Amino acid sequence: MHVGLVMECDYRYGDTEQAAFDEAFAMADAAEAGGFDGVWLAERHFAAPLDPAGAGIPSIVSAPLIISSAIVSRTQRLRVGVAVNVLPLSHPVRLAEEVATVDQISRGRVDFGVGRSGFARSYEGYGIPYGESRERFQECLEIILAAWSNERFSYEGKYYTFNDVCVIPKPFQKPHPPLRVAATTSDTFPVVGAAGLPVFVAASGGWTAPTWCAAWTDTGRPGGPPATRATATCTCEFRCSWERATNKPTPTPRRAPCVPTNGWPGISLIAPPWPAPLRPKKGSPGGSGWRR
Amino acid sequence: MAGAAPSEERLARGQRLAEVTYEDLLRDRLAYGGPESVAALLREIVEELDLSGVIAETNVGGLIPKEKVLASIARFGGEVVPVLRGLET
Repeated sequence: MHVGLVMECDYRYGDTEQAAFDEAFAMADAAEAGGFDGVWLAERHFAAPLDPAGAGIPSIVSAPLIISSAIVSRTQRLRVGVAVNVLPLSHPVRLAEEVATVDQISRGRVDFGVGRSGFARSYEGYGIPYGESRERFQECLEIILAAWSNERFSYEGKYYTFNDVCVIPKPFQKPHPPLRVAATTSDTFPVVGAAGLPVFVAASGGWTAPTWCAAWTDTGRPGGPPATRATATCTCEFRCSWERATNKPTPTPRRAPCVPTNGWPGISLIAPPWPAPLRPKKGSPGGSGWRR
Repeated sequence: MAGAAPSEERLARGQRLAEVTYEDLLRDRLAYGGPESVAALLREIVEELDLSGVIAETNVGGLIPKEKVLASIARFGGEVVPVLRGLET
């Protein structure tokens, strides 16, 4: 049973940025003292108070890996993840280096959550078209996993090309930190599932999870889809309302091979275990089923 | 929602969230209350869905005072986490 804590690193109206950092570290300390397994930091950009271009509630967590590094240095046992690292907004090799660095500093306490984010304004601020987010996400993830899983790697993609580079350090956890892929829209689930990757479902996105399960099963990997042991995040969403959504009696999916999240608005899922990483061959842009 | 484009899904989700009431949130979307009732609700959900974990957000909306957030974390850790640890997941 993983018990985690969401850290949005809220920047309270009328308060100082320093106070927001103090509060974030106090939350992490409280999580460790309270027996939580880990904290999950958001990645939020341009989330300033009273800024109409901000993303809702103001937050100071635009550089979550740097805050992660501080948290693992002040804690002994707590795992630290980012939910999620917005891959298209980072250089993939730089991100691979930085996540591996925090994993080394923490002696293997990093969880690696990845996604595209639904905040198009972040992309505007970074000058990257949101329409490219899916392609960029897939490319970045392939590159990061290749960088971690191979002594040296090469990659040729639409946005990035690498020729025989050796990324140092490698992560402390082998072959890499546990991976969670965010998914909220119907076309993401089957892609993630077909790649055999564990899914991390944002609040309210559960209705398309079965397509991820089916695609995962179709890959023929042993052991069945990892949704058999999913994790609920109570990111403000919790109680199931199956009857209201479907007009059918609530099913009893206990120990079912695949949690029927369709119709369970608000249930968020993370699903271990994580499969072997993608290993693009030299000169190959993946070959993992991500590209359609 | 089958066949809906992602942008339409996001729009529909936004509309749904815009229409949700405080009572809806308390009934359907939040584990809110004392440690015993929160633990009971989480236990029900964990067992029914066969979940392997729970991630808590203790400052939904970002308006809860820092002291209450920290107290909630401490209380959750002290009185709810042991219940979750006892579940077979």
